[in-house]
Amino acid sequence: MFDWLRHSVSAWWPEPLRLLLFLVGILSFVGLNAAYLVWVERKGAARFQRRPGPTEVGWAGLLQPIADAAKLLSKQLIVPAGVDTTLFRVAPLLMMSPALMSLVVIPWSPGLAARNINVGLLMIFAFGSINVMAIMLGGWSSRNKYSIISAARIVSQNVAYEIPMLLVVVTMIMVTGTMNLNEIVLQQAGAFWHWNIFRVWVNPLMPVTFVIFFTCMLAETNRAPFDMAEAESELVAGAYTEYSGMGFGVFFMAEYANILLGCSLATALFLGGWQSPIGVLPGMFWFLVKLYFLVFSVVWIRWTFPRTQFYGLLNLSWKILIPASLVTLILTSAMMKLFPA
Amino acid sequence: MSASDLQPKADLPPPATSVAAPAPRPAAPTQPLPAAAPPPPNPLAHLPFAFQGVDYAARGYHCEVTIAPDQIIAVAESLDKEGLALDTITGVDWIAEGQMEVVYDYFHPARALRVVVRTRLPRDNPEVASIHRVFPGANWHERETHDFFGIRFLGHPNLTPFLLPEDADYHTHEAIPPHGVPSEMFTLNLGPQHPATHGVLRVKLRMDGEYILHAEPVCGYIHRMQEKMGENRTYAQFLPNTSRIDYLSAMTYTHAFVGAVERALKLQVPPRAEYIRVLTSELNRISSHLVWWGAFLLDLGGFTPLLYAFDDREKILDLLEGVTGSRLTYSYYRIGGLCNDVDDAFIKGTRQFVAQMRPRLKMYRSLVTDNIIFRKRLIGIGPISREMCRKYGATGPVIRGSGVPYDVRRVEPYSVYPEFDFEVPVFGEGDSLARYLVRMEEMAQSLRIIEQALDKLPAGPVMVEKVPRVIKLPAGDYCYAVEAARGRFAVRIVSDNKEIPYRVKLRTPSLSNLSLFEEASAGMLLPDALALMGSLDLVIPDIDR
Repeated sequence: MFDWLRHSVSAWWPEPLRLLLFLVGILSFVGLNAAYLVWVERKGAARFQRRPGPTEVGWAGLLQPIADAAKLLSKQLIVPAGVDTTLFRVAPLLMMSPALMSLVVIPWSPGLAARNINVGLLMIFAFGSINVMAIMLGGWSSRNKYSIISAARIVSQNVAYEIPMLLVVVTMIMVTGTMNLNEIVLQQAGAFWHWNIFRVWVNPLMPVTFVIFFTCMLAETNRAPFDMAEAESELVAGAYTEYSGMGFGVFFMAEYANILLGCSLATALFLGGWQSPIGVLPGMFWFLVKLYFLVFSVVWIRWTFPRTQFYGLLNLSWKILIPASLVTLILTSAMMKLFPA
Repeated sequence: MSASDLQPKADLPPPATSVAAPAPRPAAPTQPLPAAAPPPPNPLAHLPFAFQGVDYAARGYHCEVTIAPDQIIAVAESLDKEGLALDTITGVDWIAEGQMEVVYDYFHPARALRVVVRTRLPRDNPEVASIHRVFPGANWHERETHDFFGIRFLGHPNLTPFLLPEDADYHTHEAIPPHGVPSEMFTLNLGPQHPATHGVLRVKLRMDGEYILHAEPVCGYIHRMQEKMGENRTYAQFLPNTSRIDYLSAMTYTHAFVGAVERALKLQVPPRAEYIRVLTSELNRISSHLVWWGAFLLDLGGFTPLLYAFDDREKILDLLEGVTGSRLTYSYYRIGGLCNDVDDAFIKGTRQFVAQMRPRLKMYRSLVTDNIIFRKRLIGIGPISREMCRKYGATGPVIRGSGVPYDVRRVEPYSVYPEFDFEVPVFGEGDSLARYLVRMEEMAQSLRIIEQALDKLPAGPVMVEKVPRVIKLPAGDYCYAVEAARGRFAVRIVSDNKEIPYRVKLRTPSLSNLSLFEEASAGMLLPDALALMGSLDLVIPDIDR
């Protein structure tokens, strides 16, 4: 079925129609995932906390996200007095759109990518930086002290974590020699020891590189234990305090869209993307298995660990992750020079 | 209440002179002092004030003095040098005599020594010097006394309403800069509805970025006039109220109240009742600590432990519900005993619970206590020195987390606690982790007490044979202190030999524990200050009463 899908969308359809199809596909994929990752999160949280979680709406609460969405849509969008209305309204969209844009270059399956461009990685990180601005604007325009504190936190947090993340990605670019995600995945063909995370002959620290990437991804998406921006026990709801209805809903969806993007990227960069570890089943299946395993880990971490303190977070980045990622970078370049493939 | 006909101590000497009598008040004719009893020892005889020894078993304190108002600071200073801590300040309005009495309670953090200092002020112009420079913890107690009695404490830095509603001027007292005025500092109103204040506490924070320059807790949002209610109903009628002051620690609070009444009536509670009191109090302590544990982790951003804690707490609530019929506000103890005996199901269930709880505590240790993120959030955060504890009268796990082994169960043993083998967990670091570890260890110790109580549980009645139908306490004041989950809870009943008490004072631990927050939180980051606040284990109705 996946092969048929791939062939149909890549070969037979004219380009504009193909793009339209991908647009719809990605939008619905993100929308469905955002909605159902909330369900996964709630169900997962419930299981970690030894309770059933949502059960009432639909079988095993499966219709709960739809009920939630209907509720959020029907709520009034309150714009508090004294806020910067334009920025206040734009901020949620600004948070959502970069994630959608970035998913364009993710290769889901052999040949199944909306755009196979050779600077895919660069594009993702270019768009990824907009996120920070979105939360900052949301927090700043809310005219709420909690929101402003949150906005200040988010800026320093994201600046701190973008550096090790980019250093890790530079390492990956050196190893793979390309910024095209499709090619990066293609290079990891064969068995699972060809995946970048296990390519220790290129760089013995490759698993560490993955851990750094994953940690930075958690911090970039403001997930626990790095959820300084939301920190409900300190800042009520942080930058989202003043948002109501779908304004909040979009922020909420964007958070999951960003998790999805981060995990997709980790899958493509480190876990062989759609490559099968044992050579059976279609690529799409393996991509989604790896993706959702990472997503589940994100949920798992959130419901297991308490929040870090802010200086702990910055110390981790500046004193541990950045030096560590520099070491992997230097080690990789040295190894590549000494043992050229 | 009508008090015009009260004449409890008309023959008291003028305030400027000291009292020579061994008891604070001349004994009422209904309760003559035993003639043969030797005068109680006076541990403060070496001080230049006329301290008198008092029979602890009868009154609940060891010595007292009545002094002139102008000596109040001198007494406070010399008691400070003795190493005592301020317990509470009580106002008593002697309408018939046209006087206001201010009662200062002091306790020693290391040994059994409770000191009562009294002074009398003219009712039409009640003024006395503030002792907040000696004991900063007096700040709130004086504000509260000013609220209730209009007694002016001269030299007090901020004699504004504490539990009573703030007047309209108060809101503009510290002007919040209008929108657009450039200022690096800002005021943040944390609460009264904020997830981390666990109730309706408001903390007015003066912030510089995320740093707290000055934190001022604003209390009184849930003030229910518990003390005034105590002066309006009979002892039996007030008993249910005691479960509702600190609703998480209801058993111990009721214990203090019935203890004070029993002390005044000289009732000998049957041993079975006392054992069951200890048993249920310790179960209650565990359930209270479990709520704190879950909520504290919630403050730190860890959600899951709360549900685990409530899972265990549920078992305790089920057990107590089976005996008392209630799950939170038990009102299980009665004056003279218990409302009913425990059944076999309770004893079996409690044994089961103890067996289950031990591995759970071990699991909590490996899951939470040893978590590196968790430890990093707490180690060195919010240090409270033992001196600060003493100055503010902080008790309970707060003072034990600062290295002082002060536990009312040990220092002033009550009920049948002397018969149990348990340790008082003490951690000397004074940081939030120390307070955390104290409470975690206390749960294990409570389990030990429960086990011993189950083993030793004697047979017999659970109620005194003959409790007077109409309870009238002999004139005088009676104190009873217990170790509640949050620290020292003390009841002071001033009686004028009537069916309703003349004055009920509830000395709650959370109030004193929070009063040091202002000093302890200065210069801290907001999340750290909230970790500190969480480690104080506040119950807001316990502060506001």
